[in-house]
Amino acid sequence: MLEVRLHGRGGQGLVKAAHIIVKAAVEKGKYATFIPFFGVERKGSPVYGFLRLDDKPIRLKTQVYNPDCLVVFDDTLLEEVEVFEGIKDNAVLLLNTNRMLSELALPAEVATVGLVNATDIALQQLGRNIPNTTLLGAFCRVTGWIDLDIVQKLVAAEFGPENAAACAAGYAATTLVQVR
Amino acid sequence: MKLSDVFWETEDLVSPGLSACPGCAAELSLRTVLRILGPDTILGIPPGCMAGAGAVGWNRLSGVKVPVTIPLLDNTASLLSGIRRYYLRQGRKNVKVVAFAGDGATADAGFQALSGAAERGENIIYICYDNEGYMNTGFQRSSTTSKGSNTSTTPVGQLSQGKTQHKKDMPLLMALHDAAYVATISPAYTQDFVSKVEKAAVVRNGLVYLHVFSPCPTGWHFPPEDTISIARLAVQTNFFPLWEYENGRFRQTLAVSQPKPLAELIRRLGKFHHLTEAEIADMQDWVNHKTELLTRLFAAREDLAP
Amino acid sequence: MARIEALTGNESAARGAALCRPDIIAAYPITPQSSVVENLARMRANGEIDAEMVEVESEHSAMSVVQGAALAGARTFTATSAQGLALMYEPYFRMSTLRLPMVMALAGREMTSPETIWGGQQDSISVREAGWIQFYVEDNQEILDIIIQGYKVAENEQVLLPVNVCYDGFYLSHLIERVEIPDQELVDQFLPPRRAEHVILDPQRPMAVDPMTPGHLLMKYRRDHLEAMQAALAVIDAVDAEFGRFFGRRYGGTIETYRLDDAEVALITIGSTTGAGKEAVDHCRAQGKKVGLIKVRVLRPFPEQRIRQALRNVRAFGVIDRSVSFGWNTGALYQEVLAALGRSGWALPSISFIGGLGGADITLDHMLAAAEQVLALAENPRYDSPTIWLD
Repeated sequence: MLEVRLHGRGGQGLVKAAHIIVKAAVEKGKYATFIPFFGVERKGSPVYGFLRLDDKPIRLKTQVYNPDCLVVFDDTLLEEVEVFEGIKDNAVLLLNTNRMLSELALPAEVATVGLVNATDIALQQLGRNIPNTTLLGAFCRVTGWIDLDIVQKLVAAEFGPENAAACAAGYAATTLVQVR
Repeated sequence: MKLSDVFWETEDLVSPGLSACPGCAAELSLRTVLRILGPDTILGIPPGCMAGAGAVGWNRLSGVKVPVTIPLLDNTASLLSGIRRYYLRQGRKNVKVVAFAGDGATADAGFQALSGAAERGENIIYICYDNEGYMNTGFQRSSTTSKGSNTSTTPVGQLSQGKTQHKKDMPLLMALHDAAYVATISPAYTQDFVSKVEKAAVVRNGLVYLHVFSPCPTGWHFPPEDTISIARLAVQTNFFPLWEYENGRFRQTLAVSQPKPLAELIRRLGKFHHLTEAEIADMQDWVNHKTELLTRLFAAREDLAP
Repeated sequence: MARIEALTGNESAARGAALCRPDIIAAYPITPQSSVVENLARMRANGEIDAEMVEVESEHSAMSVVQGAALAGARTFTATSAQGLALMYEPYFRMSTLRLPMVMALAGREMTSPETIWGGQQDSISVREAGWIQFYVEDNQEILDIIIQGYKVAENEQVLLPVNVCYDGFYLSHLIERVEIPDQELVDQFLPPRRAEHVILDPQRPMAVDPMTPGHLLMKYRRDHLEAMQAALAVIDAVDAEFGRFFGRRYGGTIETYRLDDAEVALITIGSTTGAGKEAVDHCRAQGKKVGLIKVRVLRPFPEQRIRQALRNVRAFGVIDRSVSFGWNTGALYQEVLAALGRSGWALPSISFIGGLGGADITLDHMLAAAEQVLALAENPRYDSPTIWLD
């Protein structure tokens, strides 16, 4: 079982992106669950959620404490929230940022880093700073755990062709770095 | 229907021997209402005098001869909404779903449910018999109890002169909900009573609210044989004016050209015996104010209607 | 053909309800239940269901509207949580005591105060003596399936009682996962339309429903109600078996046991925390520790005999509650299990664990620790173990 924690801000579409991942896994005949950590609905406040992926039914209906992967929708969260708490060794990090790897202080557990300026891509493709569909493409690229074509199809059906294009652009624009 | 025909041709659907108090206006009104609405009626009678008198009883032995249940004190309009919705769904539009509720179940505990049903335009006929308090449990005050009333929860004492607030104006509130049809009804004016219930019976575009003035000999302290004359006096003093509201318009159904002084009504009711001239004058002012307000509503031009 | 989709718990509840073809739905939004109402409203707006939706002004009216509709013969549905359930208590109690069958989804939420909007089971636990049948489920598939089973149980002539399908707020209501949605035609065969016989408000069959009732008669009604509850135990098991034949999924009726056959100690769970419990059992088993699990699926009626039967070979047990019994300084389910044992003159060393209140998590680590504590208790039996808080 693979465990993912997603960190974002209200209004960035974190829950909808996680639902696409779950749907993509289910469509492939696999299993996935996602639980949002739920607060009062407000734009801009930190939000997070817990994703699990597996080949067999997932019985655990709990929060994720030791993620294999972190998806961070906004690099300002790195200073604000304990994003890296509990991560497993050899963890994967996907970060929406315009910074270079050298400018980031990452914990030793992180082995694989995907960097993408999803905000810029979203602004170009959609005219709005909603980076979720761009990050979905980047997630496919960084993890390889779900299929880009299924994700793109689901994004197109749910959010329209511009978002599907953002998804593809996110996949292409992601810088993948093996730091260990 | 002509008045004589109402009582000649229709069946009394309330069984004999209902154990209401002598002179009870509510029982009389219930009998008249059911004569007009007929057997294709489902009745909800929440806790109150009429339920206590056995109207929700064993069918055809006591109680009423139509299907009847006792809603909670505070959910009559919601419960009946559910019944009516299912009848509409089944295409049985002619089954009338009717509440016969006291003022406590209407203006106090049940007000939220009634307000919601009116706002949703539920096609139920909601009849409130207003005897100005919780009469079957010992005359506690309600929000429709008149100012100055000596009740068991607003007793007259060294520091108290009875209830300190005026009566909540339920029919006006329901008109302002844009209910499909609203009317005030007095058991002393039977032709007016009958025609309003007949009108209510065929309304299909929303909620009907009928507010029936129900003098209570037991709680208000007057002789049982005076019920009708007290009801008549309430209309003639403008204490309980007769009007109706439909299609956004208010209409007076009985004009009182020479209103009698309110003191004539007050002097005949034991619950007001302690009132001073000044307190009676205050109540007269309130009646005058209400009369003026209604007069303006009656005069509102048709083009002001929605 | 059944379809596979990813659904949240609330979507599963709405889809399950829709498959049962309710005539009247009345509900009022409340966190975490709201998306049940929203989903049903959307299905209605798109013509996917043909139920009447009544957009009431409160939960009190929601239960009252469906009660009126049920009295007229309708099949009805509603859903709520915590404060909404508390507000509807008055017509809620009456639904069961009028013996009116229906299903209500309950997205469990902690009761205020302290002020909270998050999960817990104190809401449904607090009304366990209001005469309703209460199911507690583990995942979204079970939410959908038990709503369908629930109508079949509720409308059974031996039962005629309303059913609550309780699922944990957020941990299931907002969890999305794979759910198999059965075929409408197959559900129609499994669940024929409701036939209302015992009470009905209909001018063609005039009757007075609920006149003032003297004590000796009221006692008879209560006794009948209790007997119907007991009859429901067998009906629930039978409906589950029939459901299995129709849809290929069974849940074990009133309880489910997991790796219990040779277990020395048992964990007893209720609701979504069962999954973590089963994972903990597997961890223990991998280390040679003989731990098993009992999932209580129905709290009312309480499956007293099956619980006793399930515990007959264990040396100690622990109950994981997501609610409290204020009078006992333990969890609520714990007391129910003790009573089931005590009535047969039997005692076992046991521990009450309380966790998961107000949205707090009951983690795998909690479950593993609980299992260790119960194993230790089996080695050094005592009957006065203090309550352990999983915090």
